[in-house]
Amino acid sequence: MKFTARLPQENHNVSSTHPLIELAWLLGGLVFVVGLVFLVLGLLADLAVSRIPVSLEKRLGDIGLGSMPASEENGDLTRRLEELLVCLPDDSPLHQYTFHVYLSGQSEVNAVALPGGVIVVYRGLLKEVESENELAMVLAHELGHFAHRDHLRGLGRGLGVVFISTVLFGQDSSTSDLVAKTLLSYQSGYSKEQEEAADQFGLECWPDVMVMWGARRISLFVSSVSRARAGSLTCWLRTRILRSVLTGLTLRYAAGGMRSGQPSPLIRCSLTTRRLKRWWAAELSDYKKSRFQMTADRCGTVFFLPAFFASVLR
Amino acid sequence: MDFILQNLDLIVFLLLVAIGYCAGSFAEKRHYRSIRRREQELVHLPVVTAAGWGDQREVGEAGLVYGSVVISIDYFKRLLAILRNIFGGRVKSYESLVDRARREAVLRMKEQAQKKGADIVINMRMETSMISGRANRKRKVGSIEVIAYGTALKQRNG
Repeated sequence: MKFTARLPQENHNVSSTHPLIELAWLLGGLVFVVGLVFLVLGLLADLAVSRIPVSLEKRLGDIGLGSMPASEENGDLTRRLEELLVCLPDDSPLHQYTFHVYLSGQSEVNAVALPGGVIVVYRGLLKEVESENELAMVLAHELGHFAHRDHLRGLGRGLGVVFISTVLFGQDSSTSDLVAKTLLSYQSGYSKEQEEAADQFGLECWPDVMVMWGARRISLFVSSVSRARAGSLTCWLRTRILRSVLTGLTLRYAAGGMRSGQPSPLIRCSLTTRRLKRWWAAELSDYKKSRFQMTADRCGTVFFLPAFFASVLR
Repeated sequence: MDFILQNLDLIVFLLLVAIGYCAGSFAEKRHYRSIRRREQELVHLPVVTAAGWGDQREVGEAGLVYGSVVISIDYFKRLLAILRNIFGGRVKSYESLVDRARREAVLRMKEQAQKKGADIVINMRMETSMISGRANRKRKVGSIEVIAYGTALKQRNG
């Protein structure tokens, strides 16, 4: 046998697929599978939510509260919440809860509902609110989440996410931690529909608080639309209130006015028609002067304001 | 700034993947260039797995030659392998790693044989093992070691 020195023409041991193409296929498949399982687990969580007793919810809430940094119960805030609860009808599901309001030292402009009747108000939000109506609106909004048990739905999906990532990447994998953390931080927020439903609940239970607060903040929004800062109360308002208050209230007023009911004791001031007209004219003038480039949704919001105020003034 | 701080883990992860891809691709291309050049230079030195060789000339000198190499995988390829573990199939990202390690080990063995003046390396064998602090415990591949060894023969002239 004669040895002939030559090298192979091609390397058949290494695939020629480009790694980025492979990554795209694998990620696409993963997103599809995770999305599918996430949807199914979310539906299961939604089905199970109505069956979870408040006592179990309270236990879950205690765990969640323990992870909130520097939170302590605030008697004043709890009393304000109780004033709102007095106005609720006797058959309201919220009467099953014993509510506690905690104050967190974080500077974020936010408030969260934890399982078991715990509302955590961040100090940043308290700094931004200018009246008790605003605070009442925030609490009413959070009570709306309790009425719809949104926090449990979020928790159920969150557990689903942890389950998926643990199955895929192992229990103590850093990839698993990363995926779970990323998806959980996304999942810890409520959907647009849930936020709107919470506002709608507040609107139905405490229409006077919602109307006055909504009108006040709409004015603030218009005047500060060109200088809105991320994380400010204006942004909080835009995401949580404008969508529902503007549509909900205007339709309600157009349909025949506010429901008759006892005004909330929290209302310390009211705007007369005359003051409201003057205030609106001033805000509109300011707005026209601003150089703000309106995005599509803001544009829609601004065009919606005259109809809203026309219905209010009627 | 807030966005960066809130998603620091994700950003670090994406950064590591990007660095892994760029640095890993560069290192791999450079290594393959080096392998091809040295293989061409050493192509005249036969290496066989057989225990004997057909040449009936008397063996003047025989000795052990070996070459070993440790090659690490980059972050990007590790991500590909993790994703591939979910769906199954060929772990293409490891193929080039193992291929480079094998060829490099054989080349180093041949270089040692050449220094000894060998005419041929017979009975060549290869071993592969994983090297990583947690490789065996967590079934993770950090680096691989390939060792190639054989018997270098120098035939007596005439």
